[in-house]
Amino acid sequence: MAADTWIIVAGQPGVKNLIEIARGLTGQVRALVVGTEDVADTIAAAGVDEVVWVRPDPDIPLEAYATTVQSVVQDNPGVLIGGRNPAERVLFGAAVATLGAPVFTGVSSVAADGDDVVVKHAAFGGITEQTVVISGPVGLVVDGGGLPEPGIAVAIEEIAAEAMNDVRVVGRSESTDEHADLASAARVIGVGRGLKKEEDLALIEELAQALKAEIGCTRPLAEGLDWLGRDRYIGISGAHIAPKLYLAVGVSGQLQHIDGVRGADLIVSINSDPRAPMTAEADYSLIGDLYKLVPALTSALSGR
Amino acid sequence: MRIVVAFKWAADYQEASVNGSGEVDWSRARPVVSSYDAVAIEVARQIADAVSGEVIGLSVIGEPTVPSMATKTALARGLDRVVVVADETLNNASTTQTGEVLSRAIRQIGDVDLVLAGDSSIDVAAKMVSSIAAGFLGWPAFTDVGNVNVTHGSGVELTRPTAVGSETFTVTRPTVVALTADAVVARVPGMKDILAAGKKPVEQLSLASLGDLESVPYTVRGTSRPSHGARLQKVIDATDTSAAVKQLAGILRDAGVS
Ligand SMILES: Cc1cc2nc3c(=O)[nH]c(=O)nc-3n(C[C@H](O)[C@H](O)[C@H](O)COP(=O)(O)OP(=O)(O)OC[C@H]3O[C@@H](n4cnc5c(N)ncnc54)[C@H](O)[C@@H]3O)c2cc1C
Ligand SMILES: Nc1ncnc2c1ncn2[C@@H]1O[C@H](COP(=O)(O)O)[C@@H](O)[C@H]1O
Repeated sequence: MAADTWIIVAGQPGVKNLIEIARGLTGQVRALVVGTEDVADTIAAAGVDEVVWVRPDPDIPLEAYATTVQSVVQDNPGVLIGGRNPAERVLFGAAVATLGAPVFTGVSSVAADGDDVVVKHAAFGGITEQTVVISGPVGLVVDGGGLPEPGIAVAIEEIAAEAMNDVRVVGRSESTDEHADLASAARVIGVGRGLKKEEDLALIEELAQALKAEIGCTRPLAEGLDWLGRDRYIGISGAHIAPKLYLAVGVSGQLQHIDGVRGADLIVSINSDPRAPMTAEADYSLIGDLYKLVPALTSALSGR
Repeated sequence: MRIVVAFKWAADYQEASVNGSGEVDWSRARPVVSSYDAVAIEVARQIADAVSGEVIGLSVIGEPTVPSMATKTALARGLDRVVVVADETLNNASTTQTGEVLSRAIRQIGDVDLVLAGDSSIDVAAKMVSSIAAGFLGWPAFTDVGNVNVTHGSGVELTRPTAVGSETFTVTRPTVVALTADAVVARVPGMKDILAAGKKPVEQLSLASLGDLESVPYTVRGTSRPSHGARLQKVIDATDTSAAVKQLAGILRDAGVS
C-alpha cells in the first residue's frame, strides 16, 4: 500500500517524531491540525505535504472535534499517527475507529514492505518488542519529540469546525507551580518513594541546583502523595524523557517507570536495595542510603 | 441514569515472565480487575448512589467461558450487574477490536448515559481503548479525568489537569470518560460485598450477536527482547559515602554532565 499518512495534531505543535516516522514511509504526509493558527503555521513549515486545519472555539475542549477529524480521514485509509497527550489520543482514537485500524504504541520503527506496513513496537509496557505486519490502515502512537525544524511552509486548508454534543469549559485554574519541562532537560533527577517525607524534597532541590537538573519523580509521588506536580512524573503514563543524565534517587525501577527513561544517555541510581530492578536498568548504581549520599553528592558537586 | 463501566480482567505485566526471544509467559500472573478500572467502578457507584442510577460493568474477555472470579470481584466492588462478551477469538484482541466490541455491546445494552473507563489497562497499557470505543460510538471522549459531577441537568461536569493547571467543563450525555488512578480511592470489598456479588446478575453476550466487526486484523511476525539491557550495570559500593560520591562525581564529570 503506497499509503498516505495523516498526522493528527491536537493543540500543540511538538510533533517532530511523528513527522520523522511518517517520512520513513512512502506516500504523502498530511497533517490534520486541531488547534490555534500558530500551531497550524508551525506544522505547515514542518516538512509535511499538506495541512488541513480545524480552528477550535477556545472555550470548547479539542476532543469535541472528534467527528470533524473522522470526516477528514474516512476516505483515506492509510497510516494514522498521533501523539500521547490526552486530546491527541482522543482525536487519534476517533480517526482510528473510522478506519478500523489496529493501533500500536511505543513504536520504534515503521517501514513499507510491498503493500504491507511493518511496525516494530514495545508491547505490554515494554517487556517485549513485537514486529507486526498490517495490510490495511494502521494507527501509530508516537512520542512527540519536541518542535519540528522550521522549513518552507505549505498552504493551509481551513475546514469548518463542528463540535459534538454541547461541550463547554466552565472554569480554568492555573497552578502556581512552575511548569516542568522534563522532555528538553539535559539532566533530570527522578525521585521515588525512597524519600520519606515531603520536606525531604529540599535535599533533592539542593542536588538539582548543584547539577543544574530538573526534578522529576515516580507516579506515586505525583498521583497519590501529591508532593510534585503531575507534569513531573516519568514513565509509561507520564513524561518520556531523553536527557544526557538521569539520576534516579530512591526509585525501585518498575517497568512502567523505566519506560519513560529509556532514551537517557547515562542512567545512575541511588538505592539502598541492591536487588532493586533499578540496578539492572542503570549504568552506575550507588547502593546506600539516599539521606547520606544525596547531601554528600551535593557538596562534592558544588565544592569544585 | 445508566452508567457502564468498562473493566478489564487482566494480569499485571510485572508478574509475567519474558524469555530470551521476547515471548511473554502469563501463566503465573494472577488476573485482577485492572487497577484504574477499580477506580472507575468506585466513581460510578458514587454517582449512581447520588442520583439513584444503575451501574453496569462491561468486560471483553478472550475466553470461551466467563471466569466467575472476574465477574464476582468486579460486582463486589459496587456494580449492579455485569455484561460480558467472552469469546475465544478475542484472545489477544487488538486494542481497536476491543474498542469496537465494547461500542457494540454498549449499543446493545441501550440507553447508556455515561461510559466510564480506566485511563490505562495493566497489561496492554495502550491508553487507547476508551477513545476508540467512543470513536466507534460517535460519542465524545475525555481522558485523564480526575473528577466527575453529574448534578448538572442533562450534562456531566468533568475536571482534568492541563499543562498549566486544571480545567473544568460540562458535556451533554452520552459521553465516554477515562479516569486517572487517583480520582477516588477504590473500596476494598468486604465479606458482605463478596457474598452479595454472587447473587447479582451476569449476562453473557455472544460475539456473533454483535454483528461482524470492521476492525482490520494484523499478524505478529516476531518478538524480540528489548535491547535496553545495554546499560553498564556497574555497582559502586557506598559503605564509604565520601569515596562513593567522589567516584560518581568523577564519572559525571568525565561524561560531561556535571
Ligand atoms: C498501569 C500502570 C501505569 C503506571 N505508570 C507509571 C508511570 O508512568 N510512572 C511511574 O513511575 N510509575 C507508574 N506506575 C507505578 C509503578 O508500577 C511503580 O509502582 C512505581 O514506579 C514505584 O514508584 P517508586 O519507585 O517511587 O516506589 P517503590 O517501588 O516503593 O520504590 C522505592 C525505592 O526506594 C528505595 N529506598 C527506600 N529507602 C531508601 C533510602 N533511604 N535510600 C535509598 N533508597 C531507598 C527502595 O529500595 C525502593 O527500591 C504504573 C503502574 C500501573 C499499574
Ligand atoms: N477487554 C476489556 N474489557 C473491558 N474494558 C476494557 C478492556 N480493555 C480495555 N478496557 C478499558 O479501556 C481502558 C484502557 O485500556 P488500554 O487502552 O488497554 O490501556 C481500561 O482501563 C478499561 O477501562
